[in-house]
Amino acid sequence: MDKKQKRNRLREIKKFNNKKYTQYIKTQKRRFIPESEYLVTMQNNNNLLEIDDLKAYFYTDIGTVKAVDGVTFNVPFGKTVGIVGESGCGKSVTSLAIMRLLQNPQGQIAGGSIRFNQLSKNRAVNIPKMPLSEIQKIRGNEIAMIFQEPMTSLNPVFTIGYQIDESIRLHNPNLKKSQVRDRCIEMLNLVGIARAEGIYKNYPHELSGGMRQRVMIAMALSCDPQLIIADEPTTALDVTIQAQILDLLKKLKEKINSSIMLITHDLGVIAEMADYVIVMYAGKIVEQGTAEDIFYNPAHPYTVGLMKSRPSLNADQERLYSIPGNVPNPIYLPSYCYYKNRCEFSTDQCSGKYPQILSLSDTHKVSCFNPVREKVLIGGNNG
Amino acid sequence: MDNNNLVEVRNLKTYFPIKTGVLQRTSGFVKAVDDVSFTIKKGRTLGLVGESGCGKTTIGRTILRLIPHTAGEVFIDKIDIFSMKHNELRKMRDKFQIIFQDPYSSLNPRLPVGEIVGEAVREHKIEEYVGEAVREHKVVDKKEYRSYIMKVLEDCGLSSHFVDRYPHEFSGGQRQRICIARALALKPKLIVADEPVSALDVSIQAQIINLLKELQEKRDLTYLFISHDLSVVEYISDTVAVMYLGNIVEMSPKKKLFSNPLHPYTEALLSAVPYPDPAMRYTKKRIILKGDIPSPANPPSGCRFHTRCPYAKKICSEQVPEYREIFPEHFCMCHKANGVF
Repeated sequence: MDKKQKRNRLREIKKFNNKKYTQYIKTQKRRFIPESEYLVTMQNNNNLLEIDDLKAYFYTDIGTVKAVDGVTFNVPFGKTVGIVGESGCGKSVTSLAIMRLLQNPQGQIAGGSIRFNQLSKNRAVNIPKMPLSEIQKIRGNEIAMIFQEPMTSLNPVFTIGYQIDESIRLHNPNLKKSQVRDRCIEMLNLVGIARAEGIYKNYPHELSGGMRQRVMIAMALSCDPQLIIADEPTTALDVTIQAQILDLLKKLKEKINSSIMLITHDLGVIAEMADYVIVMYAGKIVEQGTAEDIFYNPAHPYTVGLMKSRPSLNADQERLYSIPGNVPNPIYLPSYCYYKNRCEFSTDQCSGKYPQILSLSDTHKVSCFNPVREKVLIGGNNG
Repeated sequence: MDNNNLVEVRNLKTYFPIKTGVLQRTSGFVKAVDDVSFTIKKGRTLGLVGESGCGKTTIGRTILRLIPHTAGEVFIDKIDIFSMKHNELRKMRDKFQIIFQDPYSSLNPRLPVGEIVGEAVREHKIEEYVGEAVREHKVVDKKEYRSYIMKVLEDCGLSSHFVDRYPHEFSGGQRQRICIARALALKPKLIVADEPVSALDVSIQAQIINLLKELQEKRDLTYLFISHDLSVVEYISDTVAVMYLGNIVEMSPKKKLFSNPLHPYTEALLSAVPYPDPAMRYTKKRIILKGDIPSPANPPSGCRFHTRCPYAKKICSEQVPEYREIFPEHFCMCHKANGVF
C-alpha cells in the first residue's frame, strides 16, 4: 500500500510537471510578442534594476523546488548590491533568472517581475516577458555576468582572444575585425594582464586561475555593461589573488560607472565591496539593508549566526558559535519560518505563518517576528 | 630528539619529475617541497597556510608516505617513516590518519557508512588475529565491532543508525564528519587534516572546526592542519607555518605571527584577508601583491618571493636567505627580517 501511494504521488508529480513544461514551451514558441507586453515603467528612476516578488521554481521528478520564492530588491545606479547566503539558498538562481539562463523547461520563472532600466533605448523592460531575441541583445551587452568557476566557464578549444572577440562582434556588428581585436586587447590591459598581445592567442589551459578570472572579467566588461553580475567571482581563488580581483572590480566600477550585483558566501568580501546587503535563506530574503545596517546591527538570528560562526583574525574566541542543524529540504519546506528549527530565539508565534517583512528603518528590512535588537560585536572589530 | 615532539621533519624534499617526449625522459623537476623542517609537539596543532600550488598538501601526503619523498627524514612517534618496509608501514598506519579536502569525492559511494568507517578497523583487526604486533586497543570482537563503529559515529556527532546508510544520503557537513570518524576509528595519534573545511558552508565550517577541537581535547590528538584560510588556521592552530613555493618562509606560535609578521609574504597574506566590517574599507591599508605565484618547475633565483615582494632589493634575487630563528620560536626566511638590509 505504502509503495502504491508513493508510486501514485510520483505519477502525479510527473503529470503536473509535463503540464508545466508544455505550457512553457508554448510560450516560448510564440513568434511575435508586441512591445506593449514587456514595456513597463520603473517605480523609481534611480534604480537600474527592480526585482519584484520574483519566483523561480524547478519542477523536478520528486517535487517542485522553490529555489527563489518571492524575492524583492532593487539595484540602484552605480551601487554594489551584495547577496549572501549558504549554498542552495537561491542566490545563484536569482542571478540566472535575471539573465534568463535557467535550465529550461525544468527551471522556470514562475512569477514576479524583473524591471530593467534600458538606458540605451530609453525605456524600461520586464525581463521575464521579453522574447528571446530581445533578451539576447541585453545579455552580455547591458547585463553581463562573471561566472563562478573560471576553470570551467571558458571554452577550452578556442583562444582567449576569440572568446572575448565574440561578444564584442555580436553586439557591435559595425566594427571592423582589427577594431574588435584592438578593443579586446584594450580590455585585457584594463584588467591588468601584462602581456595582452600574447594572452590573446593563448588557450585557457595555459593560464592560471587568477588570470582566467581576469579574462572572464574582461569578457564581461567588453561591452561596457550597466549591470555586472558577479557570481562568486573569487571563491576559487587564493586570498592574494582575491584581493587583486576585488581591487580591480572596485576600480573598474568607478571607471565605467556601472552597478555590480555581487553574489558570495563570504561576509568579508561583502563588507569590503557592497553598499547594500541582502541575506538569503532557503529561497527567501531574510534581511536586507545597507552594509552598515547588516554588519553593525544585524537583526535576523540567521545573520547573527552567520557572523558569529566565522572565525576572524585577531579575535580571541574560545569556541566558535555554530548554527545547529541543517538547511531544510527545499522540496518539503514548512509553512512557518524556515529558520525556526535552527533558531535560538524562536517562540510560539514562529510556528504560525511565515513572518512578514518588518521595516526597522528606511533601508533596513527583516523578515522575523523577534528581530535581535542588541548590538552584536563582530570579532573583526578589534583587529 | 625532544621527547615532546610527535612529528619531526628534517630537510624534507619532494620533487616530481617532468617527463617529456615519446621516451618520457625526465627533463626537469617540480620542486613541490624544497628543504622543509618542522616539529609538532604532542597534542598540539601546526597550521600550514599558503596559496594553492605552494606544496602544503604535498607535505601532508609525503609525511604519511602517500607520495615518495626525494630527500630528508620524517619521524613520527620516534619512528623513521621513510626507512620502513611496506608491510611494516601498513601496520603502523593506524597511528597516523588523514582527512581529505573534498568530502564528496573521498567516500566510496558503494559502501555503507559503517563499512567506510569500519573497513580499516577490520583490516587491522585481521592482522591482530594473525597474531602480529599485539595492539591492545585494536581488539574489537565481531560482536563489538558494530557497536564500536556506532560509538565512533556518535563521537563525531552522527547518530548511530547511520551505519547502514550510503554516502549520497548525507549533506556535505555530515560527509566530512564521516571522514573524521573514519580517521578516528583507529585511535590515531596524528591526524593530517588537508583542507577539511574549505568545501563546506560557513555555518557548517564552524561545526566541523568545533568538532575537531573537541576531539583533540578528549583524545589528545596532534593535528597537521592544512588550509588556505588564515582565519580558520588562526583559530585552530598553536603554531602556524606559512609556505611559499615549496619553502616554509615563516613559522612561529600563532599570536606572534599574527601580531608581528616578519616575512613580507605573511604581511601581504594577512592584509589580503577581507574583514567582516564595512568601515575597514576606508581605514585598512592593504598590500596587494602583483602577479601570480611563479611556476615551481622554474622557481626564481635567490629568495623565491622576490618577484612579488614590495621590499625586494638586489641581494634578494642573488642570494637565498637563511631560515633563521629571529625571535625565540619565531623562524623566518627573509633578508629584510635577517637584518641584511
